Amino acid sequence: MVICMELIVLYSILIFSIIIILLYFYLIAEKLYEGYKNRKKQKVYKEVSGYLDDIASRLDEYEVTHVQLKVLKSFMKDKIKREIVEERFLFYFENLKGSISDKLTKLAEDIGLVDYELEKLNSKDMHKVALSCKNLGEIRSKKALDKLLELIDIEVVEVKYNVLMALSKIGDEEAFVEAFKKLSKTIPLSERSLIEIADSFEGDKIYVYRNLMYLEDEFISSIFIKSAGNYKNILLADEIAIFLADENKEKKIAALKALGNMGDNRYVAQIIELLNDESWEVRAIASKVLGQLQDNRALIPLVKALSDREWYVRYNAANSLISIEGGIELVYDVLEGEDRFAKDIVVSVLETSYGWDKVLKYDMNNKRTPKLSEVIKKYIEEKDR
Amino acid sequence: MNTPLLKEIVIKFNYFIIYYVLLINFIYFLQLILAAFNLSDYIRKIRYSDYKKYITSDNMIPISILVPAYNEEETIVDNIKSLISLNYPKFEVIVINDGSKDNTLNKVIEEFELKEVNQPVRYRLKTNKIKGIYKNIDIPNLILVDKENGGKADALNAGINVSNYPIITSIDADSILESDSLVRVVMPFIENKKTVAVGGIVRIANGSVIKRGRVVNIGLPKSRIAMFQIVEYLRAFLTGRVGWDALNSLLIVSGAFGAFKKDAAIEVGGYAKNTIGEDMELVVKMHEYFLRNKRPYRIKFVPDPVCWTQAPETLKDLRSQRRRWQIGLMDSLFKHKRMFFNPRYKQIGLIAVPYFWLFEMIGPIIEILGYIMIPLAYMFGLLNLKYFILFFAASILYGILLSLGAILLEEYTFNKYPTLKQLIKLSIYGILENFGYRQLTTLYRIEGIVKFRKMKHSWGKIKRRSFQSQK
Repeated sequence: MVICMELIVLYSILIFSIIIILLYFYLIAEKLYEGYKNRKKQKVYKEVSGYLDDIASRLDEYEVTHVQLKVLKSFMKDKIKREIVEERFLFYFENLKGSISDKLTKLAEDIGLVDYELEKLNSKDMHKVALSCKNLGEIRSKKALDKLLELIDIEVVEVKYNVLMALSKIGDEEAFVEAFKKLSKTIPLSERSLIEIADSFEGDKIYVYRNLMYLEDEFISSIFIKSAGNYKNILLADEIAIFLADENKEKKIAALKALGNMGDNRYVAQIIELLNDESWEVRAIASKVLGQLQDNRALIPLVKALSDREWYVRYNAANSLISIEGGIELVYDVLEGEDRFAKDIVVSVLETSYGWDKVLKYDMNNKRTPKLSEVIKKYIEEKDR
Repeated sequence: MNTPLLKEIVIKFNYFIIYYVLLINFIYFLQLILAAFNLSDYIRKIRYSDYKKYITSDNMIPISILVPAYNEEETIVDNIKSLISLNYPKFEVIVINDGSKDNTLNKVIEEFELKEVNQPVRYRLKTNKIKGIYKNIDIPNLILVDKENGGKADALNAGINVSNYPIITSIDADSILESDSLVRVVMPFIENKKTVAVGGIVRIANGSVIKRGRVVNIGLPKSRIAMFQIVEYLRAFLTGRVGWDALNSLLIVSGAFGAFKKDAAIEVGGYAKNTIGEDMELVVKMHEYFLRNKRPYRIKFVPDPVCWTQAPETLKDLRSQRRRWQIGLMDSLFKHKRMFFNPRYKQIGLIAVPYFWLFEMIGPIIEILGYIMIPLAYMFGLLNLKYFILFFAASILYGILLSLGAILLEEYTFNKYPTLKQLIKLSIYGILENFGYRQLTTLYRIEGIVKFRKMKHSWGKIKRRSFQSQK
């Protein structure tokens, strides 16, 4: 038994040591290789990037000649030069906007950069696939659309995200809509990342919103309603407002947030009605949005909302009330009323630096007695007693 | 009891110890290998991560940074300055003064010209009384909460109640975040909606140059105790946490730097007040809750959002820290003992929890028993010299190999200590820590086990130094 154990210990130490030594060698070898690659890259960097920069800087005025194309294609055959070409292209796409971007896309297609990236999409290595999707999105070539759409069903989150972001940047409306129609709320990506993808769409956004806001899937539909709000295009307001009457809570909230974002107060009456919605989340968002819209038709309904049974609704209503012009005056009525919850919440909001500033300004500009600040102080003193 | 039987027991026990040592080191090695693959995956993932896009995006999830402070007058102001200058689209810093007896509260109020406000608090978690909330209109993302002393967990729960945003992160008052750490730690929440908690890496700031609350030059400390801890932290985070993350079995998100989905934290009852290992306890509670309710969830470790912290430089502080860690670990394991080898809790119940019971909790006892029993058995002629040497050589060599492995992972991935001199110094300390330091920390952990019942609700303190005075 002892001999057996001795052997196990010795062998395990031996194996572990070999692994560590191999790791050390691997590390050293990789650092050396990296150094060698960098040196080699340095040697050709000026040649490749200089040539490419020269073409890119004149792309707006001149067509690329056959000779230039031939040289660029030859760069693509060499691993290190191809890497530099890819790096430069990604740099151009990040920094050059406008018509030159289309010409760069065409050039990337002509020299075979897009085909090279498309080829990498067949890899079994998901990191490679995700990186290629990202690069194809930057290049914005429509040649990649079919392949990207095929990848949408892959369950790997990183690939899915980069496929959608690539489609968003390429900006083809039909492909983008098709991709989202294939998704459902089971998609693991967070709501915010999907809104970011929708916000980043570079094609006809109105077409996309009109096609995706009405999806039955509440998750995807809400994302596009919210994104439409971020787009702030007045043409979409009527369509967004339809969802204020939707049966689905998520869509209702999305529409409220979108209209609040757009600052369009044509729908204040409908939003006021939502202060009586059965869902407290809807009531809370409606109270908040009314503050964003700054419409004094909301003042009396907001005072009523100060007596809501849900804290968040009361809190948002109090904040909105004092933010709308004329709202501060109604604080007198609230403090004279019977509802302690309403009084507490409005006083607590007024006691913040922002609220107190409003109270002092009101007292300065009005001769009403007793002064509002005194009424509030009196209420706090009585409460503390 | 007759002598042959006693002899037999002693020999059998010694065999058990050496098999135990073999097994634990085999597991550590497995972790090292898993960590290497996981880190390599992560490094490749960074190449296509969109995190930079989110730094300026309105769609980035807003975050509340909770800073519990108890007698932190030395470091609190620097810490807040560093936090409010972080690179993140929308965040708030909530400093919770947990009834400090020193000048923490006044220092913060004076430095940031705060004024008391009557901000309403929704008590979704029960905490000790909040005495006041302070703000400055010109620094809208800073909130100071003054409350009655209730311990770190109570302070964090009060911070959760006051917070406005859906993700909360807890940062120790003696820690410093790198500028893009927040974005990186929140990215897993953006990438996957099932994410409920994310841990970042904690590194030791001793020896680094810190100016205006930022680490401007990373260096190695002169203090030997801090040097040993640098190697130890590399092993714990780059091998341990990354390895467990590869198995989706992370049980600890460090209290010094972790982010949580607020609703999920509230759903499980927030931080547990009756423990001193509130960070581990919250994560284990989440595992138990979501697995028991068959709800999908994800707890991740990301190795590059860095939080710099001060390591204790005296044996007294180190002892208190290790004792506290051991007590926290035990407390959490006892509280969730139903998970032990329970298939209902999947890999957490079948792998992670048993590992922590058998190796992290009982490990120090077996190790020390080995150091005592084996020489004794040799002295009394019960063991031969070969066996005696074998045990010590094995335990020391395994330790050295694992430390060197962790240093290698660091050099290969993030390379925060890039010079050859730093690599050599780290490697030397990776070897030296196995001759005394490791055994000493094992003794401190045993002290934790012994004093578990007496001290499980107390909260040890380490003397902090101001970051300004560090070089």
